Amino acid sequence: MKYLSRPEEIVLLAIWKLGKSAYGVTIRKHVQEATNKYWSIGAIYVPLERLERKGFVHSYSSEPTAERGGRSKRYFEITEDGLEALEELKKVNQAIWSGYPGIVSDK
Amino acid sequence: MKFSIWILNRIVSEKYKDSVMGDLHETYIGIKEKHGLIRASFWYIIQIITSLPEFFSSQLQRGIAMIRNYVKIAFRNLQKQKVISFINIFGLSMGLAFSLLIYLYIEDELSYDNFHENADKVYRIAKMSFDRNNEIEFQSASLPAVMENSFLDNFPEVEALTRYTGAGCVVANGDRIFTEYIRLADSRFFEIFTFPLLSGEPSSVLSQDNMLVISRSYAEKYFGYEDPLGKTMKITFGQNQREYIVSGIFEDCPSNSTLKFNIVINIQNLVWAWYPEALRSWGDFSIPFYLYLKPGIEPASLEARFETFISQAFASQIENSRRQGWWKGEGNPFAFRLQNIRDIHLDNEVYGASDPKYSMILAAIAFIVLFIAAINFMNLSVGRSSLRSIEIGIRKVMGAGRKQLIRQFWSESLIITAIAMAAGLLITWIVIPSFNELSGKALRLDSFLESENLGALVLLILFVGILAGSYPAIIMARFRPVEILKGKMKIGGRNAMTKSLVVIQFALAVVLVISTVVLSGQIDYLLSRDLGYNRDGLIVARIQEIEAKESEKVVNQFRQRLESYSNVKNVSGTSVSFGRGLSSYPLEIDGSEVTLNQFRVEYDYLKTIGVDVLQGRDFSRQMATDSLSVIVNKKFVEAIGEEDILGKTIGDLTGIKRRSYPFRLRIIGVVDNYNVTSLAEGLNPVILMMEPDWRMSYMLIRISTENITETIDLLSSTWKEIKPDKPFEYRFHNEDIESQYNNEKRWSAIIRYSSVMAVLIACMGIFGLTSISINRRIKEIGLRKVLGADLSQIIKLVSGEFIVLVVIANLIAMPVSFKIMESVLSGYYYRISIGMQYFVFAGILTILVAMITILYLSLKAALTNPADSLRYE
Repeated sequence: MKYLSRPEEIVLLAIWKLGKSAYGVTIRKHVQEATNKYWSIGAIYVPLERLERKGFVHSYSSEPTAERGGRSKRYFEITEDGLEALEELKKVNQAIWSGYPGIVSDK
Repeated sequence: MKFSIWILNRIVSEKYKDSVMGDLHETYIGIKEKHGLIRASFWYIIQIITSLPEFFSSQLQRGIAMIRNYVKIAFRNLQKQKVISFINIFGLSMGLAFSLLIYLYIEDELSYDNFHENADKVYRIAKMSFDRNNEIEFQSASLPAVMENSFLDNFPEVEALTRYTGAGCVVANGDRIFTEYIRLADSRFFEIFTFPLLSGEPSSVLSQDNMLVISRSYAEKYFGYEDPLGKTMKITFGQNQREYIVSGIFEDCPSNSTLKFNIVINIQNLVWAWYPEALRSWGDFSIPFYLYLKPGIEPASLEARFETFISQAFASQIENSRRQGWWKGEGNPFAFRLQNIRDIHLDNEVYGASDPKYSMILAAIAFIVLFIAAINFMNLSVGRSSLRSIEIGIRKVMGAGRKQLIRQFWSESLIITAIAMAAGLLITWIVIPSFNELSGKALRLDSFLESENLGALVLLILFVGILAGSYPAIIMARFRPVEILKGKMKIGGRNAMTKSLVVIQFALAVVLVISTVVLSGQIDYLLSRDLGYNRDGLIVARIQEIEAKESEKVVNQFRQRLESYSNVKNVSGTSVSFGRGLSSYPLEIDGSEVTLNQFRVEYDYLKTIGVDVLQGRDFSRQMATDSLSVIVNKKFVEAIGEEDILGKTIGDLTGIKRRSYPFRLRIIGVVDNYNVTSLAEGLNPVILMMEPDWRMSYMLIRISTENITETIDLLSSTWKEIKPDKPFEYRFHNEDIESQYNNEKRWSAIIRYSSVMAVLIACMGIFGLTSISINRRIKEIGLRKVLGADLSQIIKLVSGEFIVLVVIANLIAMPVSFKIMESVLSGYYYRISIGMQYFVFAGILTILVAMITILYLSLKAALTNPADSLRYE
């Protein structure tokens, strides 16, 4: 399988956690809270596009709403492949992190 | 927002476009609600900027670390070259400030009448009048008021219509009495247009004839802090005084509204305000019609049926004018078309619209100033590049590609442009009040907080930054590292491109300077030319009467009461005073049409304006028949082509024997020519008569030019005795004459400021270039001095080259500006000829300013001790 970049991984996990309510604004909010860092809207859509191209998520448009200036929302949903990829990723992570004592240090 | 969409469209993949914009909008609104507009707009702009790199290709993503380095280097360079950085930033910020002002101006022009909620359904009828060859001769929105009923019957697609016109009158609430120009409209006016009512219902505020709707600011003017609703106001139209009840208050009209008004009453009042037949006459074309179409109706479907409608509704008028010979063409003498309300302001084919030409001229000027500043930036970057060649060489050796170098210089120029933009906004903020005064607009800097305008700012930075940065970027990226590092390469400052750019800069600046001098020469000429009558101490006062007899009475009473005062020399009356409009009559002489300017006057008119009778006599109180007499000017005699005209009637002279005006008038005198219009136009044939049922709108008073204040007091107290219920509204005639040329003065001021700016920025440019070239030639200068060159030789060496360029620029600019100014002046009948002196003046001025600019630097270079400069290393 293809490995995911770090932003892709974070965004994919966010989509999984958000379930049915995953779209640009909520994903960005979630990711910002989780990483405690500033993410621009553009920074969300680049990994989203790649994830979709790889087939890990699929997206669909909702009806346009007034609060969005007459524009539609694009909801993202994780696919079977995406879930598999997460599973895989977890294994890999566990494998490479195993044995690390878990001392967290900034320096 | 449009521009940010444009930017994003280029970057985001098609699929996500909509949702990205939606996300932006949703979060923007969220922040706006929580933290306000400014915070949200700031967030928005940051979002767009920070999103840019993300969306670029992955190649660029790797380059982000480099961008940080570029920024750092850019700031170091800015600090190292303080003078040149200042020149760049100052020039660009001036150019940008100009562009921002013009952007606001043009945006305001385009936004006219967009605020009406139903703007897409509101149309005005424009009337196209044809000449004899069935070509459109003139377009206006003036129609007869009586057309309303038959129009509504014939066009059921029209949901509602309103006529809209105005009338001069005196409005009073107790002792607050003012002369006003109020508006009259149909009862559905406030339903058709979006002028929000603060109190009152749109459907009912004008439903009764005695209802009056007033603007918020006029409510304050007449009622102070009282609530005007339900109060009574008195309006006096000539002799008719009527009472009105305030039924509603509306928010003041926005500045970008074609309809501007402060008081509206029902149009049925036109019978008082104009004349009893005003609503029933089919011949009085003077009232605009606004239509509100039912949903889904295309204007074309109405337009297709206009021709039939006109030939039916106006059948007897058309018949009549055929019989009298006014209309000889085929079909109808006029046709209608519909203008959407949003298009009215700039549709200059119809009388009264704003000319889009002005926006174009302003945009051109802004572009010129910005372009001159951008040239500075290019030249100085290239000129300085030799100083940076080592940096570039090292970058190349370390593996920087051409593209990366170009990107570096672009980001540098973007940073400088962004700083200049901040300064430009500051400058705009400072000058916006004076610009508003000049342009007659109400522009506000905070319109840049709206998201679409913010996008425009970003786009402008990108445009200028990339444009100005591309030439130096390409030049520098081309350097060969080996040559640079070996020290073999010498570039910049003196190449052909730099020279031609300097020439272009100065040529543009000189065009503006020549335009300035020629325009102010023309304005001086217009203001000082002898008009053929005496205008010193001439006062024009409005006679606020509608009845002809009453207006005559006012003049005579006024004259009698003032006869004994020596400071008041003459008093007379006229239908219209020069500079306040004209009334013309197309007279047919031998098959061709001559436009007469007609004036209804009172006794002593010629004495008051100081015009002599050449032949015959003035109007006289002793001659009872003088109401049928006419005095003509020399131009009239020329137009008639007969010498001996005294005692003949106009009918005799033209061969049109009718008993009607003006053919029955008998010529009793001939006067010299004098100018009755703005000097943009020439002399017209003039007839003066005393037709008794023709009203006079103005009183003319000649006073002595001594003790003016006292005399004015005397005039206004005399007025109070005669007409206590009407204000004494007067002006010096000279002010009227000068205000005819307000437009010219305004444009001359705008061009004057921009030419000063252009010269200043261009000179800063050569200042920078000289300092660079001196820097590079410091050893050469030192050697020359050692070998015995004197001061003047050194100065010539350093500055001669630029002076030559300025001279070339002048030579290029002369024919160009001659052409431009010729076409401007060709619009004036009385005009100066563009002599050599203007070009010589502009030439000497620019060369002198350029010399002074460089002199300081070249003196400094020439006075440096050669020992210092030769020890440079």
